[in-house]
Formats: sequence, structure tokens, C-alpha cells
Amino acid sequence: MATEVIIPALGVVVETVKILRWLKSEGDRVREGEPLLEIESEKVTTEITSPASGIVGCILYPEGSEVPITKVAAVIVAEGEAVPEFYRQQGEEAPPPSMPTAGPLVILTERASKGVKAVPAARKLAEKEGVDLSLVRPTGPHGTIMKKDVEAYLASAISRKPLQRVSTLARKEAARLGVSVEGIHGTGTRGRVMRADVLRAAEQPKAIPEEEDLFGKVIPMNKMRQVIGRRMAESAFTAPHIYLFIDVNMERVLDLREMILEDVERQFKVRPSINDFLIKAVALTIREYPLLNATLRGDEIHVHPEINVGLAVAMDDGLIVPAIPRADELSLGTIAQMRVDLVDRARGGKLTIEEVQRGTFTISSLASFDISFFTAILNPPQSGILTVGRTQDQLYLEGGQVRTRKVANCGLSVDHRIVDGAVGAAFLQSLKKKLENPSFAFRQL
Amino acid sequence: MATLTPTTSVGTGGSPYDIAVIGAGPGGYVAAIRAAQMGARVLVIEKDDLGGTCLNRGCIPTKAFLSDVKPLRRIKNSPVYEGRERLSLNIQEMVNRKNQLVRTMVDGIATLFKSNRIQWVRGAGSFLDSKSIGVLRDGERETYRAKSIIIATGSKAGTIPTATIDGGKVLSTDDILNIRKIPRDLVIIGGGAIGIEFATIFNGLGTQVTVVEMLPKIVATEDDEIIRRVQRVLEGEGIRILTDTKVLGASSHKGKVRVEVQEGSGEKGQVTAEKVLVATERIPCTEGLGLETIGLKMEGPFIAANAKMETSTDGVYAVGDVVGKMMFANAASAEGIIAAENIMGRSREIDYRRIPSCVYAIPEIASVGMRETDAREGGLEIRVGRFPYRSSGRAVAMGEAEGIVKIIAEKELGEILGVHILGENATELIAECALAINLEASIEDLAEVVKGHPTLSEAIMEAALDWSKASIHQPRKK
Repeated sequence: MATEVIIPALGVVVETVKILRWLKSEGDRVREGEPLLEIESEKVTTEITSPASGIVGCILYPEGSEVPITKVAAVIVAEGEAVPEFYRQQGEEAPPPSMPTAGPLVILTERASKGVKAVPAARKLAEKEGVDLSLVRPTGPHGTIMKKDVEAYLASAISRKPLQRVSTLARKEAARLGVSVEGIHGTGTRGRVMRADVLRAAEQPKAIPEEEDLFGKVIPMNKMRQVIGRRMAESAFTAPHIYLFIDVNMERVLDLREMILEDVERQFKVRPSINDFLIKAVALTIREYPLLNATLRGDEIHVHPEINVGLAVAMDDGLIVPAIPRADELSLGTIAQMRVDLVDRARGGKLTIEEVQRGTFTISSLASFDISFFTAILNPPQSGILTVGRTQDQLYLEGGQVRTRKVANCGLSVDHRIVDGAVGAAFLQSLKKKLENPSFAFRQL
Repeated sequence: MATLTPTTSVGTGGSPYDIAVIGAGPGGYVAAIRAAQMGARVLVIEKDDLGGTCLNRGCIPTKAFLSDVKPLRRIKNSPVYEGRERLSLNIQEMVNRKNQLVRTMVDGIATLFKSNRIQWVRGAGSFLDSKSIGVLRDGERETYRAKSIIIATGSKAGTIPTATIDGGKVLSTDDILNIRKIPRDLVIIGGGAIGIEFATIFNGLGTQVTVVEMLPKIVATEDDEIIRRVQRVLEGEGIRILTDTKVLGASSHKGKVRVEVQEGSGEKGQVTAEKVLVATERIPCTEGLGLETIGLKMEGPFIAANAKMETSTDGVYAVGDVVGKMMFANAASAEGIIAAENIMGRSREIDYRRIPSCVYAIPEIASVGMRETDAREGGLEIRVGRFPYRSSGRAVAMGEAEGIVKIIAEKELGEILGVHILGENATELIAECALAINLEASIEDLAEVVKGHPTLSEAIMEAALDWSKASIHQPRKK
């Protein structure tokens, strides 16, 4: 029976992926779990493995294609089995591949490299540099391409640098605005990209319709919104949520942060934020309550072996949750380093699928929006999500004197199928204790 | 000239021209040629000789004179030429030479018209409606129809109410180009680009020149630093410059003209000279064009036009001095090309920050883009790179060490905002900078260009390097 190779949904915000490379050709034998193709989305690059053993019956999208998620990209058939005609027709509708437009990079295609004799070192280098081996002049015996031939080709290809099609100011402006000049329509002589073109391109995505324009209008949901909608609805309607809230006195942890700020900065070259303390404290608390690190599969609760704490990062076009692996074992400085790097790359769309998918628990903070407390929907298939509100002054009595202290409200949403209210409450209480007695909780910085 | 039958509607078979251009100066004739290149049937209407003020009474004649004067000045200033004291210039021969070369070039434009199948008629054009122009020729009126019309009527020599031009002692810039005798002394009213050019020419001819400028500074459109330097140099050459000074009147006095002046402080005085040249701001030629019949919007005395050179009336364009945005021949030609291309279906806009302005004094002044004060007042974060001619081997070897290259660039991207050059060949050197701005080069690009050595253009590279405190031939900056 034919098995479909389906482009998976890569996190919440991905609509389409680009097929970077097919690792197998039509007719090749493949085992289940063996890497079949490489894909790239705005956010991540990853390999997709074969869902079944058999023969690659047909490949429906060529390298370079943009493919919507959940589409069938290839079909695996049993030996001797024909590919159902239905799939072939689907493939014909595939959009033409978006070819690389600039640079000497040539994507290595199976067709081009087949029939070319090359030593393994040459192939390896060609693959690394993206060189089409059929263009390389062989000098080895019987027309075999040697490693030095690829090097010679690279040297010559690099010396044939393409004509500068972007003005200096346009290039600098693009770098400043963080936009890519690739694909920008150039209005200068011979299509040269000028600064005004970059400015125009940078403005376009921000050209959201005026608010008054939206009233009375129907807005079609794009793929991203559909995916967010479906996953959140699924989570909200299948996982029975319980919401628990607790006030945490943040004074000591704030003081501790002040105290160690300089040392951490000197040693780790990064400024630790309160979020880093939260990540660490949550990871340590999960150690005590493994059910907060679990996923429901049928009638089984699978407790993950690692505690990987995700941090929700808001983006212009949605959100993404990169996770810090084994946060319970990491020092605060390392957590800060990883957080800065992950958040940076999340905003730049440069996370790997691994970094997004490994999360076992999520922290979501809206403190910067002055939110006092809020409930969150679980990030499926996780069993817990912690919400963090802003830290504010609270009055309290001490020896008959009115005093103030800095308090933040933390909320916990749990999947009641896995975690009961008492367990969730105990988790929160333990977390509170850690944050309020940080010198003990964070004794290993 | 094309032969034309005076009928009420001209055009082959009565069909209208694609474009009619009124005025054949550097705005009009260039627009006509560009449009013809793009396939338009073009008619040019010119009441005088082809080439306009630029060719007949402006840029080219004065450059002919300057080229005569300049070698003499250099020889007179250099001890290496023996017998130099005896050398002098023959003004009549200078005028003859000028007239001859002007005639050659006017014929050249006629040849260009012919090769581009452009028809032209001599006569004063005036609008009958927005698609037809009446032309008065020998007392008869002909009517021409065109789908689009470009007004390129230019400007005429400026006047001043307190000194009436008589063509004898008080001259216009047109008159002085045909002068027969070198005056012993000359008062030039107006210290703009034109006044300063004539001051330079006559100073070179040995005339005692006094420039009277109403504004606090001469060549006021240039960068302040350049203005201060050029005034110092011109004064050093023997030109008297009175700024912030008004002309109250001019009257005959013992065969000369006495010019009454009043300084900004209120103090009055007088300058007596053989001749007075009125070189005040030029006046756009809009009279008799019938602009009121098509209801064209004006901006003061000028015709209002947008960056596409479109006027307020559909299908009517205006370029050059009559628009008055930048009263230089090169700007007029650039505007003419843009008007022609827009009519022919392209969409282009003029950017005056990319058009160089050139003043042909000795030393020359050339600039493109913003002045330092404009940039600072505009709130831009800038840095300035400078390189004096005195540090240029070539300039010193030429005996032309007076001058400076000044480049203003924005700090973050290194965008070249303005370049100002004072000195020998400044008007040629500015071209490289205009190219750099046009290509959106950064100041680092300008600094990386390798120059021939020794050349004056090295000064541009050095000024660009100086911007990054990396000038090789200047003392190191902290």
C-alpha cells in the first residue's frame, strides 16, 4: 500500500516550507526512519524521515519548491507497486521552484551529480559548498573529479563575483533595517536595487490596513492563523484546564539578581534577566513534580526524561516557543546565554526544529505589558504552562506598620487529565518558596 | 529652418505634433532631441537663435572669454615667463572669436535637429489653448497643434530700478559680451554666480572691478565655508567686494557713471566707474506666452512645476529657468530630458540634490547636494571630510594651490550628502562626486577609488579618507 510523505506542521506559525534537497531519488529504496528530504521554513531547517520502508514511488515537489504544510510531498510504495495516478496529478499543480537568484551557489541536484565520477573528498567538498559537480573540470584518472578540482572551480567561481546589483547605500540600509535585498525589485539602471527600493520593501509588510478599514470587512485567515486557531482550540477543548494563581514576593530574587549581576555579566558576557531565574526555578520545581513534565498518549502518561523549559516569544506574525534543554542542570549564566541566543534567533527566524519541539513545559510572561495576571492555554501536548504577571508594589502589615513589598502573580494552567489541582497547587507553592528564598534555591549559580 | 506653410493648423496633413517645445535653449532643445529619439514628432518654436541664453549670451560666451583671460593671468603671475609685462588681450578679437564659436555651435544644434527630424520655426509662441500655439512670424500668425507642450522659454538679463540699463554706460550681461573696449573700471551690481564670473573675467583683463551685492554674502547659494574662502581669494586678486550693500542710484559724472550705494549699517557711499554691469537675478520669460489663457499656476514670477516637470495644466510641461528651481543650464537640460521621457510614457522625477552647480570664477566653485548648514539644520548626524589644494602635489605644481574639497556625509550609512569644491578644475572634479551620489555610493566607496598621480582628483579621495580620519597627506587628527 502506498504511504504518503506529508510535510509536517513545524510549530505554530509555519505556513509553508521550502524543500531544500531530496536525499533519495524516485526508485531508490528507503527504510522507515531514514532521512528522506531536507526542508526549511522561515523558522527552522530540518530533515524529514521516511514514514515507511519501500521504494520512493514519486516525488511531487522538486527541490526549491515552496510547499504548504500538510501537503503530500512524496509517496513510498512497496516493491513492484505502482504509484496511484492521483498523486501524479497533484504534483503537476506544484508551483514552479523558486530558483536561487544570486550568488555562485548552485543547489546540487541528483541529476547533475549522477554519472559524474568524483572521489569522496571531492563530493563532500562539493556538497558543502553547493557546487554542481557536472560543472567541474576533472583532472583525475578516467575523468574522475579530484578534491583539488572542486577547489579550483570554487576559486574561479568566486573570482567571477557577480556584478554588484545593489547600491552601497541600499545594501547598508537593508542591513540596518534587517531586510534581505534578495528579491527586491530594483528601479535603478539595469535593475539595480537602490535605497528607495529597500525602504519601500521594508515598509510593505508593515502596511497593515488602517483600523477603520477592518470594520465591516471579512478577513480571510492565513495558514498561520488557521494553525494557531486549530491547535489552541484543540488544546482548550480536549485538555480540561485548571487555573491556579499564587502571589510571589520578588524582593529577594530581585536583590539577588542585583547582587550577582556584575559577576554573571563578567563571566558569561550576558545580562541575566528575571526570566532566567524563573526558568531555573521552574526546572528545579518540575524535578519534584514530574507530572508537570508529561504528555498524554492514549491511556498512558508519558513523563519526559528531560526537563526542557520553553519560553514563549512574541513575534510580529505570531509566537514561537524555543526551549532550553535540561534547564534544571544548567547554571543561571548558561541559561541566560541560551535564552538571549534563542530569543534572538527566534526573532530572526533562525531556530532549528529541535529547539522548538523539545519543550516539555512553557513559561509565558506578559509582565512587560503591565498585565497583573492571566490564564494561558496549554501548549499541546504539554501538561503545564506557567504565566507570569508584572511585579508591583503591595501593601502589607508588619508589626502594625504598613509597608510595601514587590509582588508578582504567577499562574499555572495544567491538564487535569494528568495533573490534579492539589499537585498543581503544591508545584506553585514550591516554586514560590524557591523564588522567595533564592539564596538556597540558586546556591549553584 | 523647415519650410512651413502658414495655415491655421500646421502639422503634416493637419495632424498635431506629439510635442511642441517653446524655446530652444538647453532646456528646450535637449527635451526636443530626447523626445525625438523616443519616436515623437517634435516642433520647436524659438524667437531667436537656437541655443538660448546658454549658447548665445551666457555659459559658452563667458567660457570663451575666461579661456582667453586665464592663461594671461597665469603668465602674468609667474616669473618664469620673460617679457610677460608686455602681453595684453585684444577684446575685439575675443568678441570675434566668441561670436564665431557661438555661430558654429548654433549651426550644430540645427544639424542635430535635422538628424532627429525635429522641425523648428522662428517666432514668438503663445498659447491659444493648452493644445495649440500661435506663432507670430513676419506679422502673420500661424497656429500649431501638439498633444503635449513643453515651455522652455528661459530667462532674461536681470534689471534693477535704481540703475537703468542704457546699453552705453550701464550694461546688461547681453551688452557686455559685445563690448569693444576694455573698461578701466567696472561696477558689477549683483554678486551671484553671473556677477562673480564677469568680475573674474574683467579682473583678468586688467579692469578695476567692484562687486556690489545686496545680500550679506556673494554666491549665496553655496556653502558658507566656500563663500568665505572664495571672497578672500577674489579680494586677494584685486576685486573689491561690497556685500550687504544696496544700489541707490546711478548717474553720469564726468563721462563716467557714479553709483550711489548704501551699506547695511546705513552708511552711504559712491563708486565711480567707466561702466556698470547689471548682473542681478535673471527674470523668467513668461510675458506674451498667453499663460493666462490656459490658467497656468505660477510660483511668484516662475511657472509652477512638479518633480515630473508637469504644470497645473494637463499635457503642459515647463523646464529650465522659467521654472526657476535651479537656474543653471545643466539643470534645464536634466529637466528637459525628464519632461520628454515623462511625455513619452516613462515615469521620472527630478532630484535637484543630484545636480551639480558650477560657478566659473578663478578659482572655480562647484558643488552638489546639501550645504553643511542645510544638513545640520535638517537634524542629520554628519561628519565632514576636507582636503586643501595646498596639500595636493598636482595643485601646487600647477601653481593653483588655492582651494579645498569638502565632503559632507551622514555618520551611520556614510551617505554622501554634499560635496563642495573650490579651486582649479572644480567644475570637472564635481562630476565624480555627482556620479557617486547618483549611484548611491557611500563615502567609503569614494575613498577607495585609486587615482592617477599626480592629479587634482586625488583631493576627492583624500577628502573622503579625511572623513574617516584617514587622509594620507594631511597631519594626523586626534
